[in-house]
Amino acid sequence: MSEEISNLKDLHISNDEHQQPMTKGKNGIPNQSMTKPITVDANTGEVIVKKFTGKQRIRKGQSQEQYEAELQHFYEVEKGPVRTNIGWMSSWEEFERNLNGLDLEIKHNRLILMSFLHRWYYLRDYASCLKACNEIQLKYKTLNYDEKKMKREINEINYIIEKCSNK
Amino acid sequence: MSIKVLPPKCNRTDPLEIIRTRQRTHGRPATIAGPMVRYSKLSFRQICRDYNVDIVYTPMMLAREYVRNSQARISDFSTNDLDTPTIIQVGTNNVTDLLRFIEMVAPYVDGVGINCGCPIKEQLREEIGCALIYNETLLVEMVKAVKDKYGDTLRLETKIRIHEHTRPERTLKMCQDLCEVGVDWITVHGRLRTTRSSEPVDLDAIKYIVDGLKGYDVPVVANGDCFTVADMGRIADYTGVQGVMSARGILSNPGLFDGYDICPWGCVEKFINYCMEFGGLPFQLIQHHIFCMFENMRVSKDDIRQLMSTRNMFELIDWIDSRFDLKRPGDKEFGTREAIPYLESSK
Ligand SMILES: Cc1cc2nc3c(=O)[nH]c(=O)nc-3n(C[C@H](O)[C@H](O)[C@H](O)COP(=O)(O)O)c2cc1C
Repeated sequence: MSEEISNLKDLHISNDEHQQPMTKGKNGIPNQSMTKPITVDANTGEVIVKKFTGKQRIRKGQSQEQYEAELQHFYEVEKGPVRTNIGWMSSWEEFERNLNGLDLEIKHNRLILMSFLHRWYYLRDYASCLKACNEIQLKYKTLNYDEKKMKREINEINYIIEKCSNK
Repeated sequence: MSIKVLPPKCNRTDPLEIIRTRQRTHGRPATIAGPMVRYSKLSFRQICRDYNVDIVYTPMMLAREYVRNSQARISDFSTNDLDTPTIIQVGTNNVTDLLRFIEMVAPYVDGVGINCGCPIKEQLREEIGCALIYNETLLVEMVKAVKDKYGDTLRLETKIRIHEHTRPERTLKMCQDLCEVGVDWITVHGRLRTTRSSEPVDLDAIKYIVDGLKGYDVPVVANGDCFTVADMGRIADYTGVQGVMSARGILSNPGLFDGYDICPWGCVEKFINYCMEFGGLPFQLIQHHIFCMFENMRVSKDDIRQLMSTRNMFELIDWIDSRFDLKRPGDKEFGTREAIPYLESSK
């Protein structure tokens, strides 16, 4: 899920991570009953879902035009799902393309840039790693970023510049 | 529609064919790595394939988000040339979102699975996941809509839980209805919506469904409590299923279907390498995968504490290199050793 990246703080898999507290039914048998969504508009996927509290919520539909716009974006801009074959991060040109092409206000995109560093560091190519760190640092300076939000990433880059310089 | 829609993947590896034939060709059921939200990403799927897993699932993704939001698509699903056979799992509560989702992903996967087992509140509230087994009409309608549109060009699975223990009649009836509208196979997680995963899986209930579907040409896959190859054999023998799916077991030991009862060291090496090669995974996720494998390998508490105290990928690599002999691709013995190669100097 898209929000998963920000939810990683509580990463753990206790056996019952996927368990919810059960509502008590008759004779100690857990209540297995469920409510059903009500389809408002079958063409757009608009549905009403009912919360356990009884409150209703509308999940807005998506018109055919809106969907087609997404589909077009998916085909023409995204070029289908992200494809990462072994070695896709091995060239400097690819790094530069990402550095200059990605919207770095988006966390996932910054993660992609960091992945280049991780790979070079892991493969003990400290020279490329250091060079890329410096470029990222310069680039981040041109961004209008929220310092608090990116503190972790900036610290990480500082840490690794020092590390690579000593290798 | 003015846009030319791409058809489902034409050179797919047919998962249904694998499930149907593994017993005859390999003398064992099909081996399947189940969907795990957050975890079943590309690197994990790839490591499973290195260890005798026939079919691998993606984590569940929400159709609603996927069809509406480009950023969701980018972070939810990435793939590559080796990522096959892959079943993409979807959480949905209506036909429209489902058909649109499938239209988008079908060219890139070998099949689609509908999640009818997730018991978490947030999904149930949206009538997604396990809520669907209590809304048979909608579930059957969704499967019918997909199969009417795609026929055999798209494989569609449903992963369900059971309604009752031992002889779940309502579940069997639902499965029969799903077979009638063309579901390709059914995975049965032998627990109720409210059963804790610490309680044993109900194999009698799975067997009851397998027996009840004998009149249909639709295979059943058993899910729950498969932690070793011996478990796989026992589950398949007892229930008569044609495939066995593992989730928690394979997370801690991706080598399990290859006969390793404990995760081999080479698996850790290859997993780290895949993470580094594919990129895009948050550090905490990689750390957590290694944590799961290390626990399985009985790495000491102190070492695990140190692993968990690393704060970023660089620290993690440095720590592993200081404590173990971590081979890289091209090194002799990369990915092949079983025992943990502690560094003498670090003891
Ligand atoms: C961390 C975690 C994430 C899971 N995510 C999903 C999911 O996305 N979709 C799904 O159908 N089941 C999900 N499950 C349930 C598993 O696929 C499986 O049905 C369950 O764990 C029982 O199998 P096991 O005993 O082999 O673990 C998840 C389970 C775990 C532990």
